[in-house]
Amino acid sequence: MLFNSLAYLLLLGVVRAFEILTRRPAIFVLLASLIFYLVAGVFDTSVFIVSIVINWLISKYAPKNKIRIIIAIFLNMGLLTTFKYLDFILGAQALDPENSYIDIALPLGISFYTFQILAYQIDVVRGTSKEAKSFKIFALFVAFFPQLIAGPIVRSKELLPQIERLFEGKRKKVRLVSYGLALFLLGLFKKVIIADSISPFVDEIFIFGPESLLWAWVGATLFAFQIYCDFSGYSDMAIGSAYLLGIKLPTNFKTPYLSKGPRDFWQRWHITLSTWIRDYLYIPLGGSHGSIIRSIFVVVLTMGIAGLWHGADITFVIWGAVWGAYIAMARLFIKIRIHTIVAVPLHFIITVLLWVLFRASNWDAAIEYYQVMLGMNQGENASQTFYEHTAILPILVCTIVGLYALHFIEDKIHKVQTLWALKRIDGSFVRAFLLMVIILIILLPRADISPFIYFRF
Amino acid sequence: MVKALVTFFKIGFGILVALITVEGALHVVEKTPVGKIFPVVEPQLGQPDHDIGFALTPGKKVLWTKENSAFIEINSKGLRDKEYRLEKPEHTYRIALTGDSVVEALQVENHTVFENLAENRLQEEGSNIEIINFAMSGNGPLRQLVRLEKFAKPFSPDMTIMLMSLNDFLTEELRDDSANPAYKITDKGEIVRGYAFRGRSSQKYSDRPVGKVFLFLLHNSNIFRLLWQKKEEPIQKIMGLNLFRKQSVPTTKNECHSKDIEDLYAYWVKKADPENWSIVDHYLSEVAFYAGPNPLVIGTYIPLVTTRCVQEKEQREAIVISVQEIMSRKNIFFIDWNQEVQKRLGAGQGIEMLRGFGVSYGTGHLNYDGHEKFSEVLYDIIKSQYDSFAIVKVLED
Repeated sequence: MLFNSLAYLLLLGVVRAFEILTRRPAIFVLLASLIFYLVAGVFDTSVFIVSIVINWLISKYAPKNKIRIIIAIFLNMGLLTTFKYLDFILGAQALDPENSYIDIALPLGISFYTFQILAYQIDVVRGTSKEAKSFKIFALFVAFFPQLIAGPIVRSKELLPQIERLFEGKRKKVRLVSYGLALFLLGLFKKVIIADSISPFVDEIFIFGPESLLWAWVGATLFAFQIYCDFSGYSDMAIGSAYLLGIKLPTNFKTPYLSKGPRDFWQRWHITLSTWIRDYLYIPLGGSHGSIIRSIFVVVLTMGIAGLWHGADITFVIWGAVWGAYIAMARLFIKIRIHTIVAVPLHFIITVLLWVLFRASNWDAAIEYYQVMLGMNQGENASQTFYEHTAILPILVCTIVGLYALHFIEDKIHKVQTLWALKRIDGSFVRAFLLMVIILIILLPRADISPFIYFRF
Repeated sequence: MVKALVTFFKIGFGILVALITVEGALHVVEKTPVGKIFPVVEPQLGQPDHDIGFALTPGKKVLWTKENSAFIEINSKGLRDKEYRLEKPEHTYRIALTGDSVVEALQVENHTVFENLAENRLQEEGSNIEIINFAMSGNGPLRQLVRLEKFAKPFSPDMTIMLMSLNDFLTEELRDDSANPAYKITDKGEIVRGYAFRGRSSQKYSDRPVGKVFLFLLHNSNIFRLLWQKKEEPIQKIMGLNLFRKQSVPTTKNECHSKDIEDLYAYWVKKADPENWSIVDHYLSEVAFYAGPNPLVIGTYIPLVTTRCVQEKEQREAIVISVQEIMSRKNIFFIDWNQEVQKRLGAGQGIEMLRGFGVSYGTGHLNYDGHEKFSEVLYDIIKSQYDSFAIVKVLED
């Protein structure tokens, strides 16, 4: 079920109604989570349930030491590898980028819930998190529908206590309804109005190839905003939905295109994955300890694996590894101070360049794209593409400027003051207003229901 | 009680403010170039018409965002074309062009529609020729004729060109159609035009106050139009429950168009359906009567087949010969339109490359290249007639 659908809004409304009217809201949230996931298909749901049951049995019967971690890693990564990486390992093409948003055989959200479960198993053994008291608590911790398919990847110490309270019927009075709705609306706006609208232009430029240097930069920059608005839009909707059910999820994005360097970027982009990678991969691999060469190797390896998490393709691995190299370089030259006015645009340009690797359908396509982008090649003939170029190019350039301006505005409103302001004005009027705008945006005509880009990971 | 009323009022006011806000935002988007990128509600281009069921609204200027995004204009006479005076200027040869959505071409701007390109080229060469576009989406054979009778006749055209799919004759559209003008066969066996469509509520109420308010809202309110357009959609789609996984679809296309060709062959060569044939014959007589002494060209879209499809190729040739014979008996000049377009394409280029925009390349309506090629065909047809007595006579008069 997609967040940008009336069905989801209805489900959310029904669950909230049950939460208000009954003393056992958690059962309805669990049931809703199952319905939510069932829309993806029986096969996906079966894999998901098997994963939950196996992990519950591990946490119940495996000894609470490294053996449990090894079993958990083996089984969970085995499941993920089977569905996501087997074709890649065997040398086959897992995804047909032109025909499918999501690999048909890849269970929806498997990368996200596998990482969340793994973190739980490791944290319990490390003693940084309590064990779930019962199967149903564990099941809801994994299956909590607002963050099930594309994160945020929530740590058990953050979510488990809230789920337990939900099962105990100690429901907090939900006082952040307007904030939850506003966050949902912001995410919906980013997804439906921005990401889905610029998607056809990005697709056209990347599939047919850019026809000039300017078009190449326009395409890559638009993709940077498309993927940001798509993914952060999903996260905002997830966090907003959770607020409506009285659950607080961690922030996943903090206007990443205003970052001053690669380290800053990964502290603002997909934060819950970044911290996961840091805590369960980078630090265990040695982190920044040891010689310079070793620390460079560790960061490149870690980011390469993080790239692989995004998709079973060599371009994702290279994308991650290049990010790793960029982080290492920035660390080496940390003493060179660059003014923010220069650092932010410079880093944004590098980020846009790196997104090409992420978006291109394969390595050769990426290289061809870079050649046009860097003025080494003329680009494709204009007759291969069909939008009225002379008219649309200035509009697209203005759109990019507008999107960057919106990024600034978003940075200003993503503050605790906004939360307090919305809490102050919360009431029937504001809620009705926000809900109506949400419904109208969902109803807006679209060529097709576009799934979120990160569903494919 | 008072508290409940206040809450109720606040909710109502919140909804009202939301409606006004979204309506305002949509108006801004649709009136500015950003509408080419961001979502707009499909505009209402037409209105009920007593004679032909539905007609384009005169003076309408909208951003059409299906397939491609283009600002398009309907002229003051309700035609998808630039302005033309009703009275034909002296020494001017006027051509009425009609067809379906391909000729209406809402996907591209007025000046890039193929008939305008051909007209400009002819005029640049010094030929005082006007091509007026009377096409409208969904117009089958009879509806085209009815539009010609109602809209084209007052313009006194010297020549008429009709473009239609040969498949249109196979559908039931020509008979007892409740949505469009159609023929019916009376108890005495006579073929007459029926007006089943006049029973539609849009015809009945369009002149009454309630109908006028409805039409006003339909034309001017994005939200009203959005909700009205949703009525046709299945509840599953409205709720957003359709499958969002793109299933792998076999992409092997039927280059022989076996089924289409077989159906057309059975109809046009073997004349499999005698009763329908009497209607087609009647229709062609009416078209010839409309044109009178002036030249009439009917171009039809017949699927093209490759040389590998031996049987289909033979059947196609037989269809073309048969249609040509049938039309020539009525003094109608027949054009195998797709074949004419194909002739103007390079080796290895398929006619499908003239359709579709961006990622939908290959399917849908004519793209800019398509309009270029169609204009070449139209230009050549007119040019080939140029030395004929009809054109020379009119230009010299």
